Amino acid sequence: MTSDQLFGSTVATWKALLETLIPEEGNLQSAAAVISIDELMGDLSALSSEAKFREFLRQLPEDFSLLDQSQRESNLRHAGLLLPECLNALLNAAYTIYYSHPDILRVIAERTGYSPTPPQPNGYALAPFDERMLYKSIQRAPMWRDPH
Amino acid sequence: MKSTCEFLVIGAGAAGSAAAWRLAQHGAQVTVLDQGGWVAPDSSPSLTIGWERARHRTHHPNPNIRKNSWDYPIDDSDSDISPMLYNAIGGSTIHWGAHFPRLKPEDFRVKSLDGVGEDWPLSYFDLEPYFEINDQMMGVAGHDGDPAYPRKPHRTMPALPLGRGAERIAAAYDRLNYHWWPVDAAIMTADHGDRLACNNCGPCDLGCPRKSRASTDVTYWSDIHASKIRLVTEARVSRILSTSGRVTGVTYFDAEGNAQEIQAENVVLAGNGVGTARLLLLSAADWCPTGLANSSDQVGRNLMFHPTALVTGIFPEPMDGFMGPFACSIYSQEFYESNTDRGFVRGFQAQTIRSDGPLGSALGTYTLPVAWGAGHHEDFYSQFGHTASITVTSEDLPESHNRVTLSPTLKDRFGIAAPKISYRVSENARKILDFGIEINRGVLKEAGATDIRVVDLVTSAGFHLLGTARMGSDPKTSVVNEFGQSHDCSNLYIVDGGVFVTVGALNPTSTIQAIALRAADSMVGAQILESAR
Ligand SMILES: Cc1cc2nc3c(=O)[nH]c(=O)nc-3n(C[C@H](O)[C@H](O)[C@H](O)COP(=O)(O)OP(=O)(O)OC[C@H]3O[C@@H](n4cnc5c(N)ncnc54)[C@H](O)[C@@H]3O)c2cc1C
Ligand code: SF4
Repeated sequence: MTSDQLFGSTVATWKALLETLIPEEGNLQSAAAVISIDELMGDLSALSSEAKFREFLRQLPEDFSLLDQSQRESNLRHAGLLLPECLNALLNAAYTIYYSHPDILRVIAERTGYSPTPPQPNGYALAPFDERMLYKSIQRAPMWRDPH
Repeated sequence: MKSTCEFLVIGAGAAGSAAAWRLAQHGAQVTVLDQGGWVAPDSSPSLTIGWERARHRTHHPNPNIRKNSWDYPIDDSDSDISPMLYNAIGGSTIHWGAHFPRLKPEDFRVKSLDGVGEDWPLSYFDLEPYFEINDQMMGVAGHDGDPAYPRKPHRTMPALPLGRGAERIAAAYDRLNYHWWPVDAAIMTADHGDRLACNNCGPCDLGCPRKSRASTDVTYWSDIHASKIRLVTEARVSRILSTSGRVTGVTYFDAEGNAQEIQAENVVLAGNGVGTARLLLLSAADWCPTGLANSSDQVGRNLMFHPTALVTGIFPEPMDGFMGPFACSIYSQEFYESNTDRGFVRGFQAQTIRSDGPLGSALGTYTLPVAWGAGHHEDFYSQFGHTASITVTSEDLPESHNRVTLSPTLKDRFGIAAPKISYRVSENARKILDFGIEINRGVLKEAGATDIRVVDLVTSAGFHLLGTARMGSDPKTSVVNEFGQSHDCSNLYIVDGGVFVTVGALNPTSTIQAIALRAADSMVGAQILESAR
């Protein structure tokens, strides 16, 4: 991708941004490993203005991608304070792509028992409503006001 | 040749569908125009792996994010809350949560009882027979005997199961001696015709392929009487035509973008609190230079949204909140009424909501997003599947500066001026929210939450679009009478949530539809039904 398509920045910087937001941990890959920069740029363009993003990226040091996680976090926090809508858009795009990725959903399923299949058509069992739970509420006096 | 009709209804959402159906049932000749088209229930993204992504992009409830061709943009840059709505046959019920409370008897008499707002020109009991017709048409699951209401007809379908989170919250309410009840939900819990019982899948806002969750495209529009209605889809009304004191028809853009005109003996507006106000303002003419039906200068004013805060408890055990209709489980009206010791008037509804899939949990759709950076995964796994939330839905009182106007710059794709929303949360509502947040922190703590997170104003919770064409007996201070009939044009009716005088703190759709049905009876001179009470 050209620098223009990258809002004046580099693939390395964008990868480092993703890595900063969602780092690798155990069998969970980092956002940089699962998100293609193409897809990220496409999503970001719909969420925020390119001009603002260029300004946002200018807040980061040139060697951003070479810094360690905590240094990158503090730089990103600083840029986010100046242009919060850009940090929010970046977060929104990164989370959206990351948490829609089949590999990530598979790991979440393994760890939590959550089913990674779509909600429909199977859904989940609809248990019967247990009216015994209302034992206390049914004892209450009427609690509406008759205006007449 | 321009076509002509007896009743021209603008908007096929919750209100317009109910009104058109009732008019057709009375044998009236009805044409309905909506800027949207049909949304097939089995086209719901909930059948696809990308369902959560769709929820945050193509199927977002905010038209400014979704931007589909049926939508119009809304300038909300001057508003604390962004309006959420959908434009289609079914209107915003295509996206809604189907929590189906009625306003309470006292909500119609706020001025007399609490000295604020205005009284309505009609009462809860005037609407009671129409609530009941509407309940039958929409299909309501619930449990009889809620002490927060006058007795309602027997609910033939059982209430939805609470789910783990709401069970914990209900038990906490019991220990704290607070009211709670399973909600009335416009959701089938038993099969009926082609509407199947809910299978607890979760994201009702993406549409329900089983047609369990009511939306007016699958309720009113599938009834036999609706087959007599002429429906024009993808028809964006640009102007209501009028001569002094009478409306004569409308102009609209059809699906191909061609300008069309249709004449009508009566026009019924059901475009919701934003769309209707926009259209009335767009329809200014020489005899009504500030907008149609606006001699009172109340069109667009008194916009009420129900400001909402969200209190989320994180529990050590799984709560499985991604299961079950997200908006429907239990509610509490313990703090609904005024208590002057609290330093504010009126109160709030506490509605328990379930949670989200992985993406919604990470983004914090209505809650706080998961932290980014080194602690990201830990924060994600502490929250995902482990939360239950309580919304604090605040009373919102009418204030004339909260309003819909026309944007001087923003236009829709046909070049029609977009609406602009100016809205600020009032001091009274802010106090209610703060009080409600503290109460519900206590509830969640009692329920066993080990961490509690608060969104003190959910800016994306502009679901209820109310008050911008209010009803009243005095033409100087209101836009329509109790039957939705314009004070200025006797053959123009408004039947959506714009006519609300005050809004209580409860979700409005059941009340909107009851008002629309009653108004339709009056339009054809039918006998107005009376409460059996
Ligand atoms: C995500 C979400 C969740 C919700 N959850 C709940 C809930 O749980 N309980 C509840 O009570 N309410 C809920 N609501 C609110 C509920 O959907 C609305 O109160 C209800 O649909 C309003 O009905 P209406 O007929 O006034 O407007 P709508 O249903 O919005 O219908 C208006 C129709 O008018 C059409 N229209 C407008 N302008 C024009 C024009 N110029 N030309 C042609 N057509 C036009 C639109 O296309 C639309 O179809 C929710 C809303 C959303 C968005
Ligand atoms: S939870 Fe039930 S009502 Fe909601 S979409 Fe799923 S099946 Fe339909």
